[in-house]
Amino acid sequence: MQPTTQVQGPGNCDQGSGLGSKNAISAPAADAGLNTTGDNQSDNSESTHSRVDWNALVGRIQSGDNSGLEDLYGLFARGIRFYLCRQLGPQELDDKVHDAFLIVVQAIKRNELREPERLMGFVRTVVRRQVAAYIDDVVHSRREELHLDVGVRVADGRNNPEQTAAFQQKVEFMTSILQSLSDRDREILTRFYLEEQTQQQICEEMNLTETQFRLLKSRAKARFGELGRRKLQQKPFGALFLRTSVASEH
Amino acid sequence: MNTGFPFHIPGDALENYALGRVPDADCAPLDEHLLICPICQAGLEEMDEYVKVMKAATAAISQTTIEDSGHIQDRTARLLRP
Repeated sequence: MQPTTQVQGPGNCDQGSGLGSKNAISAPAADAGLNTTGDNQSDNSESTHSRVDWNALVGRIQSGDNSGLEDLYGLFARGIRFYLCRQLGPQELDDKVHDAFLIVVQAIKRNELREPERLMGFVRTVVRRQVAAYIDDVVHSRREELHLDVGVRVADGRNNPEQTAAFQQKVEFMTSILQSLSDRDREILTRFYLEEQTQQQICEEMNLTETQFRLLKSRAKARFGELGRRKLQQKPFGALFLRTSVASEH
Repeated sequence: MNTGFPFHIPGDALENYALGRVPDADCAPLDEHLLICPICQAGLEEMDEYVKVMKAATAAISQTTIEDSGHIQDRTARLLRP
């Protein structure tokens, strides 16, 4: 196995030493042609799933070839972890990732996957069902179980003080950017992000073209990035703003 | 071969996804791509953060505007008092 490349999930999803954190991107994923270089959006190179031979992978797992399991794990562990953490938070994340894998592998071994080339769709379905089941459980237990155990440990979903300070600083950057905009531009962004109006609605009501709308949004993003970079050069505290991700490490 | 979403997710689509504005019917290719693409996962993570920051900043500005307009109304009322 290659050295691990740990990527922060949303919130505190990278904690623990379970399945997901063992090897966030493993050799099989890299071998499958994963492009881990370049900018996020500008990199338009073909991505992993159009290069993976899903039939062969499923076949290897069905025949009991352990390298098939390794490859499956290498391809999906991080994504499943990311998805589950984004939907449900970091609580018991390792167990949930493990459960998802177990379901997928058992289904493959039982030959229940009729279209191996739809493996990604199958994994998605499994993970979505897991999310739905978990939410159902929580709703059910809130409704039915009145005698809560006082000793139950619940993960603190809040950011730590450093994260809170970093976030607050980002909000201040953005507030200063918004204040430098015209009232109209600020209103457009407020309608879109805060009031959750659609692009179409905003364009209609404010007599904007789609291009003008997009331009305003991308300018705000660029200015946020630029201001953030400038502040980073001034303050050692700014190291908190550096994203530790695959994309930035390569 | 599955080629449902052969390239990385474009910024606008990622933003709509982060904002929860992609209709369920259109989510599948994005979800599937995100399951195996660390680049787009990192992009979504950044986008989630940006959206949170933007929401907080626009809320702060709106609050300030409301408070400012409240102050103006108070002052106007005081000035108009006989």
